[in-house]
Amino acid sequence: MALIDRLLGRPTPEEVVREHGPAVLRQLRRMFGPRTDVDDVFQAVMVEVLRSLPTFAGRSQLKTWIHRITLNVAYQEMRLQYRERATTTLDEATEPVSEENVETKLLDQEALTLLYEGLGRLDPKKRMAVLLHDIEGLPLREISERVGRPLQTVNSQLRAGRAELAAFMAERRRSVSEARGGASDAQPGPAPSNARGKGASR
Amino acid sequence: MSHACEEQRQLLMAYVQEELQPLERARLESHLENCKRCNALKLQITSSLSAAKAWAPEVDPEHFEHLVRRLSPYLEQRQERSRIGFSLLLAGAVAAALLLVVSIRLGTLSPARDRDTSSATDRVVAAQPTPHIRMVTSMDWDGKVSAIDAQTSRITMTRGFGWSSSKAATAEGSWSVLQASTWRSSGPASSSRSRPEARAASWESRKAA
Repeated sequence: MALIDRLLGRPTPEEVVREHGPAVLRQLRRMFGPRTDVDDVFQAVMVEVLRSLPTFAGRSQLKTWIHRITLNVAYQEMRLQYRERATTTLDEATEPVSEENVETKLLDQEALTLLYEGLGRLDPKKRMAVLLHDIEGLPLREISERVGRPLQTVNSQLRAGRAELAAFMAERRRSVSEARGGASDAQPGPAPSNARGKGASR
Repeated sequence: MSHACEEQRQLLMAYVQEELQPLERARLESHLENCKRCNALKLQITSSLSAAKAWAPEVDPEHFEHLVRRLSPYLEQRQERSRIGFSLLLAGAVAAALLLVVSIRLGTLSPARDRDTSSATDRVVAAQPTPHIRMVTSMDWDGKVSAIDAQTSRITMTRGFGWSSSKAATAEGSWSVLQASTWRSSGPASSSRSRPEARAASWESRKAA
């Protein structure tokens, strides 16, 4: 009852959903990519949050606690998808793109799509490590705490995930080049001098 | 793709994330300078990661409302459970309050009025004739009642809760005592006896019987 929650200074279930739901939804979209419908996963996360809310002891922040539940439910969903090979494809509907900066957005969209397509093919543990570290920017130690796996294990999963993702992207680039009939970047040769990543700036 | 390319490719994401050790980085950069394909892949990875990091999915308020509506059965279910919990809590609180009131009420019937004059132990406290217990020899504040069994002549002890337990013992029918006054009839001053006195009175009673 809302009255008890108010008396105990706790947010009501609906307040929890309204306050933290949008962040959960954004988090799930960032985890599953722009072309995946996450409504069912969102529902599963919030149902789990509501079910476990009475047992929330307040040892951590509600936001952190909900994030952990989100990760757990998302991981289960990734396992299902991985098992069923139900990864999204390039043929599926994309988010609407406004007319301004269409070219840039399409390029970003393409880059994003390629990345999430590759992530969708990774083993869920590796996928989670790459997502949380390389996209969400969480330090390895924090990932280790949140997913409940040893630091070394998370590190290994990250390295393996990155290698597989890079291999997927290389393969995809190769097949696109072949489909276009040219393989300008397929031949080894001197690289342009300005083609350096952030790492080169150090 | 050469073996060198394959080896360096595995490090590309760490390179883009600036997490390579200096030696590894130098080796990779040297490779990138001579390999267009790996260089293009590096650009692709940089572009994809940048797009993903910059991507801030928007939440459409209408769509979110739709999702909240989908959750309404769970919200109501939770409220119903809370309501049941609240009812149980309320019932428990009422029961506890009743128990407290009854205890206080009984406490006023107990020898509380005698607290400032003398100890309640070693006192004859009841005087109803019964077949089994010859006499009650004492009752202390913990509700411990001592009585002499009529058949064995042993002192038996009961434990209870204040006056109510001795009252319950009375209801079971167990008191058989001489002319000793009770709390009710004569008050603490006239009923006060030490245990040896009570026991002596009991023996006298038996002899007389």
